Amino acid sequence: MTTSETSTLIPSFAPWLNRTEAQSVLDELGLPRYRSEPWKYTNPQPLIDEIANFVEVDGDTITSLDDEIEVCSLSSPRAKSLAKTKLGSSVEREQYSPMLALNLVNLTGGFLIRAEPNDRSSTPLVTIEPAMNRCERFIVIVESGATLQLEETCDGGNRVFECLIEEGATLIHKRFQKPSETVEYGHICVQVGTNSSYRLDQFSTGAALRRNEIVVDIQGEGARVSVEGGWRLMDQTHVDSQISVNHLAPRSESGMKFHGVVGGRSRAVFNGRIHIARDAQHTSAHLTNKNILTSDTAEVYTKPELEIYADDVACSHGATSGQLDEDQLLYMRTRGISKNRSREMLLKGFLNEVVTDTAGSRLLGVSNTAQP
Amino acid sequence: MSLLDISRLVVSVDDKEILKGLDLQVNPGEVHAIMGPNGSGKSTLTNALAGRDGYTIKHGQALFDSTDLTELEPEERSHAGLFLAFQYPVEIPGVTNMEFLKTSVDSHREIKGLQELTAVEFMRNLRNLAKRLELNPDFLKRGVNESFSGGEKKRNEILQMLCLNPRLALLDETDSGLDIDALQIVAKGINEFRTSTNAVVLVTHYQRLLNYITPDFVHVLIEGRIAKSGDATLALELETKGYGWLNGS
Amino acid sequence: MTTDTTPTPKDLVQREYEAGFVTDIDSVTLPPGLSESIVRRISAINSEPDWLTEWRLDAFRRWSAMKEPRWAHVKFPPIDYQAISYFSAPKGDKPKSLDEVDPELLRTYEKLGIPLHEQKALAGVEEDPEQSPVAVDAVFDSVSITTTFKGTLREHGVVFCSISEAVRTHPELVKKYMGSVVPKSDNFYAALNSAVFSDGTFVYVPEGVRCPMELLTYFRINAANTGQFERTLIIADKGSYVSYLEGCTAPMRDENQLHAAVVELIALDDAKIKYSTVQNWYPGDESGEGGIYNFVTKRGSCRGARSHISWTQVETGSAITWKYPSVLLRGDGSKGEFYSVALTNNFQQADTGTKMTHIGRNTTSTIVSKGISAGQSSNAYRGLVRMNPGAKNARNHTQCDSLLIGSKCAAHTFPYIESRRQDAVVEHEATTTKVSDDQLFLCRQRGIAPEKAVSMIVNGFCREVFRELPMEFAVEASKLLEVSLEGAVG
Repeated sequence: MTTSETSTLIPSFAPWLNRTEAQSVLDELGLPRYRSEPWKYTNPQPLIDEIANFVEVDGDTITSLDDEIEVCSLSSPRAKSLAKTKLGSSVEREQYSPMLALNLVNLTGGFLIRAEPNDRSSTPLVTIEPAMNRCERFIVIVESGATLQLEETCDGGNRVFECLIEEGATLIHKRFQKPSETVEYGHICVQVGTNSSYRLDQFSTGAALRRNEIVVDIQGEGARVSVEGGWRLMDQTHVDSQISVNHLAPRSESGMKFHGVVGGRSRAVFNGRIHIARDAQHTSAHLTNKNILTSDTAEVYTKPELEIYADDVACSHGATSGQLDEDQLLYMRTRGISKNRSREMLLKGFLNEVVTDTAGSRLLGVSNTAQP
Repeated sequence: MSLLDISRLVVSVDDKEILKGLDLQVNPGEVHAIMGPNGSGKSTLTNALAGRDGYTIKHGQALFDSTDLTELEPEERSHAGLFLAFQYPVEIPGVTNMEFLKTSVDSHREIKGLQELTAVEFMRNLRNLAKRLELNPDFLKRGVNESFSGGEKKRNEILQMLCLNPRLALLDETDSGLDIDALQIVAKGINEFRTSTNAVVLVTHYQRLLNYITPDFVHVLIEGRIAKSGDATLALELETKGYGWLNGS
Repeated sequence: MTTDTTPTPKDLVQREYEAGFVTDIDSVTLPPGLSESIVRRISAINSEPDWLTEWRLDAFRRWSAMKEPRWAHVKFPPIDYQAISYFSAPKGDKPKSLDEVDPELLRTYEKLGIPLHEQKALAGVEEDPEQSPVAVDAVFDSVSITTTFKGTLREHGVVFCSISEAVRTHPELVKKYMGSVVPKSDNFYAALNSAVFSDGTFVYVPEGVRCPMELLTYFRINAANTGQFERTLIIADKGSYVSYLEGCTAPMRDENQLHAAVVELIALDDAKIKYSTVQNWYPGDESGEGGIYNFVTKRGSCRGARSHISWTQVETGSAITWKYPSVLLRGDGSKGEFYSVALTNNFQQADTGTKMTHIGRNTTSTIVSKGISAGQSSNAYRGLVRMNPGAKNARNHTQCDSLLIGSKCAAHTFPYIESRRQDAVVEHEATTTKVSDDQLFLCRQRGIAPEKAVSMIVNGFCREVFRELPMEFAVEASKLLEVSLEGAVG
C-alpha cells in the first residue's frame, strides 16, 4: 500500500469508538514535536510516519486458554456495551495526548478482555503476540476479586492498553520486548481500585525506536503497585520509557525499579514520575533507576521525578549511571574467572535484581542457563 | 502521698480499649517492675503517661505528684519530672546529641528560673556521665540516635535520664536488644540514679534485667489490667512458669 | 551562641521581615518602559564606551525577539516590561569617599547590619582582632554607593569595585570575560539583563593571590516600580582564591518587583572561587501580595585545570525564585559544588537547583539540596548533571532532600541526568519526609517546646549546607540558623 492510499484510508474498525473526538483533539493539540519536554531525547516523527504503513490484517494477536476470561473484538456490540458500562468516559483519555488520539484515529484492530473471579489456584493467562504493522487497542477489565495475567510480546506496531482493576482485583502484566528493527509505540494506562494490585514487569531489548508510555492512576485506598524491569540495549537502538504513577487516594504503596545495561551506540531514555495528590496521605512510594554503560558511544538520559502535594508521605528516589565496579571485576579475576566471564556475571547480577522472571532473563541473555 | 497514683485507668488507641481499668501507686524510693506478655498494654501505659498523641484516657485518672497528667502537655510532664526511656528511640538527622541534650536541659532550667548552663559546664557534666555509661564522647557530636547501634540507643536514653534527673523514670523495654555487657552498664546507670526521693518503673518482657536491679514490687499486666502483684520473687516464678497460669485469674 | 537565640518555627517560617523599611531619599529614576533609547540613556548615564553601548543594544534586540520561559514549576501573571523603570539612583554625583555618602544611606546600611566603615566588622560578628574584616560593595537600586577596603585589597593586587568602574579601569578584562560564561542571548532574563544591567560587582584576583578578606556585595532595592538588574563578574587567575558573599533585601511593597541579575565566575588553573548567597528579598505578605520576582542567571566556568567553583545558597526570600547556579567543568580535574537551602512559606514559589556540565577529564561535582516547604508554598529542585563524551572518569554525587511542614505545601524534584561516558559515575539520591510525630514527641518528652523542637529539627535537616557558609556571613544567616553548640564548644 502506498502512502497516498493510506492518507485517504478511513479505518472502519470498531466505529463506536469516537474517532471524530480523537481527530479534533489531534487538530487542537497538534502532533508531538521533538525537543518538547516529553520528547526531549526521542524524535516522535518515525512513530508518526510508521502509522501510514499500518493495515488491517487478518488473524488475531491474542490467545486465551481459560474459560473465565472473556475475549471479544472491540468491533463487537458486546465490547461496546461492556466498555461503556465499565469505563464510561474514561475511554476518552485521548484528550491528554496526541499519540493516544493518533492510535484511535488509525485503529486497525483490538480486543476487550474481561476477567471474572474464579476458585482456581492458578492465575488465568492471556497471551498477546507482536503487532507488526498494526495499530491496536486493548481494553482490559479485571472485575472485583478477579485475577488476570497478561503476557505480551512486542515487536513493532502501535498498541494502547486501557486497564481497569476493580476493588480487590489483581492484574499482572508481563511485557517482553524483542530485538526489533522496526519502530514501536506502546501506551498502557491503568486505573487501580481500592485494595487492588497492579504489577508490570517489562523486559526490553533494543529496537530502531521503542517508546513505552505507562500511566498508573491509583484511585482507591490501600492499592499496591509495582512497576519493574530492565533493558539491555546494543548496537544502534533506542528505547524510551516514560512511566508515571499517580497516587490519587490515601494509604497506597508503589515501587518503580528499573535497571539497564546500555552498550554499542544505543540510547536509553527513562523518565519515572511519582505524583502524590493532596488527599493521598500515608503514601509510600519509591523509585530507582540504575544504568551501566558498556561503551563510550552509548547514552543514558534519566530523570526520576517526584511531585508531592501531601505531607504525610514516605518517598524516595534514586538514579545512577556508571560502569561495572572495577574492584568487583578485579576480585573475580583474582579468583581465576576470565575478564569477559566476570563482566557477564556482574551484568547478570545487576539485571537479575529486577528481572525475576525466567522468560525475561532469557530475553535479556542473563538466565542461568545462558552461557557467555 | 504517692508520686504516681493511677486509678481505674482506661486507655484506648484507635478506639480500641487497651488498658481496661488499671490501678498502680508508686512512692518515692521505690522500684516497680511491670511485666506481661506482648500486647498486654505495657507500652500503652508508658505512652499514655508521657502524653503521646492517640493514646486517649477514657476513664479513671493518673495523678503525678497530685497533678492530673491529662492537664499537662508532654513537655510540661517532662518539666514536672516524668521521664520516658523509649522502647524505640527515634532518629533526628543533623541535630547533634549534644545540641539536643543541652536544649532539653536548658528548657528544664528555664522553667525552674535557672540560668542556662554554659557550654563548658554542660560538657563537663555530660562527659562524666558518658564515661560512666562507657559511651565514646564522639557520639555526642553525632546526630540524635543517627546510625547508633541498638545498644548505643538504649545507653543514650539512660544518659538523658541521668542528665535530666527526673523524679519518676519510666523505662520501656530498656533491656531489649542489649548484650550482657551493655545490660550491666545500663543496670549500673539505673542503680546509681536511684535515691530515696525518686522512683523507677521498669517495663520489661524478661526477668534478666531484674537480676541486676532488684524491684520492690513486680506487677503482671494481662489484657489491660494488673493480674497479680508481688515482690521480686514473683518475677522468678514467671520466669519458670510463664504467663499462662495467670490467665483467667 | 547559646540556644536562646534559636529561631522558633514562627521566627523561621513566619518571621517578621525586618529589612522591609523604605529609605526616604531623593532619587533620579528613569521613566518606566524599555526601548533602544532607554538602553542608550542607561549607557550614557554610566558614561560607557561605544563598544558597551553596542553590546547592550545587541542584547536588547535579541531580547525583543525572545519569549518568557514558562517551563519552571511556578505561576505568576504576565509581567508588563514596559511598566518597570530600568534605572534608579540616589541624586547627586557618585560619592568619592565615605564622607560624601548621604547620611540617610549610611543609616540604611547600619540598620541592615552592613558596615561601610572599614574599622567595623559585620554586625553580630564579635570584634576579634584576629578576625580579618570584610570588604563591602554596597549597591543601592541601580548604583554602587561605596566599596570599602579598596586600598588594602589593591596592595594585594585584588580588584574589587563596581562593574561600571571596572569598565573604565579594566576594560580589557571586562571585554574579554563579560558574556563569556552567560552569553547575551542565553535566556530571556539574561538577555534583558545584558541590555539594561546596572551596577554589580567586579572582582579580579591575580595569579597566586589568596584574597586576604571576604568580599561582600550587599544589594538593596529601595525605589518603587523599579527592577534591579545587577551584573557581577568574578575572575580568579591561576592559583588564586577568593571567597565572595552576597546579601540582599528590599522594602515591603504591595507590587511585585523584578530582580534579574547575571553572575559570571571564571576560575583559571588551580583557582578557587567560593560564592555564598543569603537571599532575603521581600517574600510578599502572608496572603501572597507583593514580593520580589527573583529570576537570576548564575554560572561559573572552571576553565583551568584543577579549578574549583563552589556555590552555597540560603534562599528564604522572594515571592518567586528561579535560579540555577551552575558550573561548566571544562578544565581537567576541575571541581564544582552546589549547596542549597531553599525555604518557602505562605504563597512563595521556588524553582531552583543547578547544572553541572562535565566537559573535562576527572571532573567532579557535588550537589546537596535541602528544600523546606511550609504554608501553601511550592518548592521545586531542578537539576541537570551532564557527562559529555570527553569527561573521562568524571564523578557526580547528588543528595536532594525535601521536608514538608503542613499539608498544603508542595515539594517537587526534577533531576535530569545525561551520561554519554561509561566511566563517568553519576549518583542521585532523594528523599521526601515531614517532621515526624515521633521526633516531635521525643523532643517534647525531653521538655523541649514544640516550636523549638521543629526549629531544631529543621536546622538539623539543613546542617550539611549551613556548614559551608563562611563564619563572616553569620549576620544574615543567623536569622535562619543557630550556630551549633558543637561549633561553640570547639
